[in-house]
Amino acid sequence: MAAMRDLLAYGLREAERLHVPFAELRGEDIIRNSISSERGEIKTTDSLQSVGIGVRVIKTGVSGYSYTTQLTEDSVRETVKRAAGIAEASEPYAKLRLRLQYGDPVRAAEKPRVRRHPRGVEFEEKKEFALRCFEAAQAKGRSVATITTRYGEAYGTRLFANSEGTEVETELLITGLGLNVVSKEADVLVDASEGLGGTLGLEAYEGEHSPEAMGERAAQWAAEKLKASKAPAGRFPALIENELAGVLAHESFGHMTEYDFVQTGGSPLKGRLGEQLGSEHATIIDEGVVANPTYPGFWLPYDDEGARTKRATILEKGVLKGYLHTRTTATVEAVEPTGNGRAVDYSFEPICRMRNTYFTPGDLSLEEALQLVRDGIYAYGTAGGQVNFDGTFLFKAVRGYRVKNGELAEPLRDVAITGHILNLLREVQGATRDFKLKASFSGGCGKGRQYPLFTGLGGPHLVLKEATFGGEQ
Amino acid sequence: MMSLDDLISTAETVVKKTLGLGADEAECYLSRQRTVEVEVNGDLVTVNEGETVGAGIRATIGRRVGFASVSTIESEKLYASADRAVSLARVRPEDPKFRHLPDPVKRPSKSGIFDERVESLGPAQLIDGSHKALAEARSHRELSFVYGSFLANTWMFAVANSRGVNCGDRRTAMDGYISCKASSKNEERTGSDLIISRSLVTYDGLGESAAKRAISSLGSQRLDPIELPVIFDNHTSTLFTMLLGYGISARSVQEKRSALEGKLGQGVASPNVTIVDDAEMADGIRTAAYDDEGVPTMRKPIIEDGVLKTYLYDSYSAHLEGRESTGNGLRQAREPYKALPQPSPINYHVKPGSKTLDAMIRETDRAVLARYELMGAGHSNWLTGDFSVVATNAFLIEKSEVKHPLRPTTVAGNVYEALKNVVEVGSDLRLDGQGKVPSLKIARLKCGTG
Repeated sequence: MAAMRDLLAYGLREAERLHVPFAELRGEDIIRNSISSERGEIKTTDSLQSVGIGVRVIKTGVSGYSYTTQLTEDSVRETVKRAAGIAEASEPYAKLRLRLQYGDPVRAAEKPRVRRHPRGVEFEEKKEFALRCFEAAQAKGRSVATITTRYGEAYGTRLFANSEGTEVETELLITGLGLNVVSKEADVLVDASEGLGGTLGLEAYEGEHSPEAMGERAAQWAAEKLKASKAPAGRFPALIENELAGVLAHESFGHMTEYDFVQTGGSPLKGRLGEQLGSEHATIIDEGVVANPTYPGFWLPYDDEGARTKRATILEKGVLKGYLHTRTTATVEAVEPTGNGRAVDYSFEPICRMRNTYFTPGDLSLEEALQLVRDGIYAYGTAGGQVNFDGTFLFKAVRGYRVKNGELAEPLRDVAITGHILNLLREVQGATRDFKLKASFSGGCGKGRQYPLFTGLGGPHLVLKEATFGGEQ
Repeated sequence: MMSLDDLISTAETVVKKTLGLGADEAECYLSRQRTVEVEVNGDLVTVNEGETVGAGIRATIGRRVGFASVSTIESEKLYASADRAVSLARVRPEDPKFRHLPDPVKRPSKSGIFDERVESLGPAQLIDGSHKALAEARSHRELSFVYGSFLANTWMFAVANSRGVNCGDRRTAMDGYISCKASSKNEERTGSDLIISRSLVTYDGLGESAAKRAISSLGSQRLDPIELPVIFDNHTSTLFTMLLGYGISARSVQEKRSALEGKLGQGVASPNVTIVDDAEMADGIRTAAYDDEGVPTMRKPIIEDGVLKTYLYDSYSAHLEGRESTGNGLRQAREPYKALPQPSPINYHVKPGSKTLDAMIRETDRAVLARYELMGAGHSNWLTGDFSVVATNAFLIEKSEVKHPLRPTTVAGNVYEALKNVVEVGSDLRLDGQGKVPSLKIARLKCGTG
């Protein structure tokens, strides 16, 4: 990485020569490998290398961004010049001026600690991960039409340097293993997925998360969905499973606390710090480094503005406690940056994004939670979701169960939950002790054109007094 | 700046190099794009300009295929990628379904529009155009938030393989999207508008239209869960074409995850539905003379008078059935060189009917009108075609008139059932990233507000 480091230093000198008061450069060299199988045969074996340098300058409070994938001094010089030119061209239109509080320079180099880094493990073993998932699912499945599995890993170096003298080098690492089982009987076509992902060494894919265990679970769930009934529409008490709770924390609440949305009026949470928005059982955290060895999510000690990531408690016992900040938004509010300035890759400038977002666990056992729901719906897993600027959301649980008399009853197919997030937070009646947090290798968060960003999502099971279910055919 | 010919000859060089490393067959796909983007989030403006160029290399040894890509075309990194592709082909197991890379195909095909004015568009012009449009929206005092995203893109690709394919094409594209939020005392509603084009466009009118859409949705009322006819306008009707893309992929069919498996030659839609994959649409966003593995593209009906005519093939799925690719091997990624080809439509063209949206409304007794935007379309069940979306700008039609706006309305159903229940196809084709699609009226779907 010495050559890349030299190029960043060269870019900073060029910025100084152009009288740019503030410049930051990011360099990355990341390898992303994946192995997929379909119906028991290895389908694709990919190895993608992403190298590039991004340059952001701030001049008279206006930013300009450009990037290059040609790692030469000439190209870096041109890129710095282009970024400075963009800042000048934008200047007449920028109503909101960025202010950057100059900070003390940070010098750091950090690597995640895992036992078996994928870099040192042969292809053969990873290939077997994908095939073992298949075999277990095939053996346990019922009327299986197809099974796809995927192992993925991304690792490499990210460098950051700015005009203040900050130099940060971190190693990115994420691995993931997952599968999708499709079962078909007559005209009924159903599927189920299971997987694990995050900043994990390969030792993570053992025990509960071994390819066999995950394969069997997915196959059983798909078989169960074959006889599942349609989810009813209407309002019901609900039990929300861990992953879906994570999606709610991230999509529905987290985004509204991103300060760029707050600042510009895009978020309904402007000016509401200290307000009781949810029940006392709802606490939501966003942080870069999660101290949970089984579920670390995506490890991010520094953000893409060279700031140390901090734990941000955005909702505490239902009270709005804080927003998520980049360096520039923090300066506007005269608060400490939380380390939420992130970019998908070298071709984008850092904007306010989440890291690992989750509801904190409560004190209920799963049995107690079911008793609390009594008669309602248990919504499980997620096929994603979407939130509108007005707080309206729609989430897809991939499957579910009816809860009758505090016990699990018949299985349900795809379940959609809709409503307004602030109403939903008030409905949280309790949370369980169990906790899961995952970051997806192949998916991620999207904001504007920046997709997919590695983020972690999770939480305990949540009990909702009432939620609106959409129902499907 | 590299010309298309330079790009093709670089691809050929990489192919030779990859064969030299021990591959039986080799393919190199290169894409280069220059992008200018402006994003306006309230008062916050961000502008980004840059160029990317990268390579995706397929190397085969027997029936073992390795794929590697790299985000630069510096020779050293390019050849290291070729080496990674060959190494992967060496260690992986066979793919019994793989036959060979595509052969050169002689078939007339057409390029789409390339507009030099878009190619030379600088950040200053794009910023200026976007601000005029945003000012239109901001002039409405009901609006509490305005977001805009604008982009100009010039793209070219080249593909060469060891069986003699060597070709490429280029295109220009612009898009603009404005979304805003209108507020009244007890309500917040959103509205948006989108324009997409291969030629230079101004964004005039985009902000005004987005603002009116948000404001017209204020004063909304509830709708208890009910089955009703639903009219999708020429924005929201893309839900159906989008979901159809999964089912008509020959790979989905071969891999037994398509609801259209075994339906060739059968009625899969109402007889008034004809959907063509139109690769000859000069203004179609994805039009190119060749697909992303160098097979000439072609125009063909997918559904004709309700009958399923063909699935879409890339070379992998076509060779498996001993037939020729339909020229639908597209690499679906923001940077296409990072992806392998998959069967995908080039441009949908839904054959228009005779009625305008207004005429369709006039002939309707009671229905939901879903306009402009849907939430959650991408989270549908692609496999089964089940969808449950939220129409953010829905209205209730009663006795031939748009009675009042509805609160965000959940509309649920199944795409394959809905296609059989299309009672009216509008005359109002609109160009979208997917192609040209009109308004559609579906006989009945589950609807309701929270």
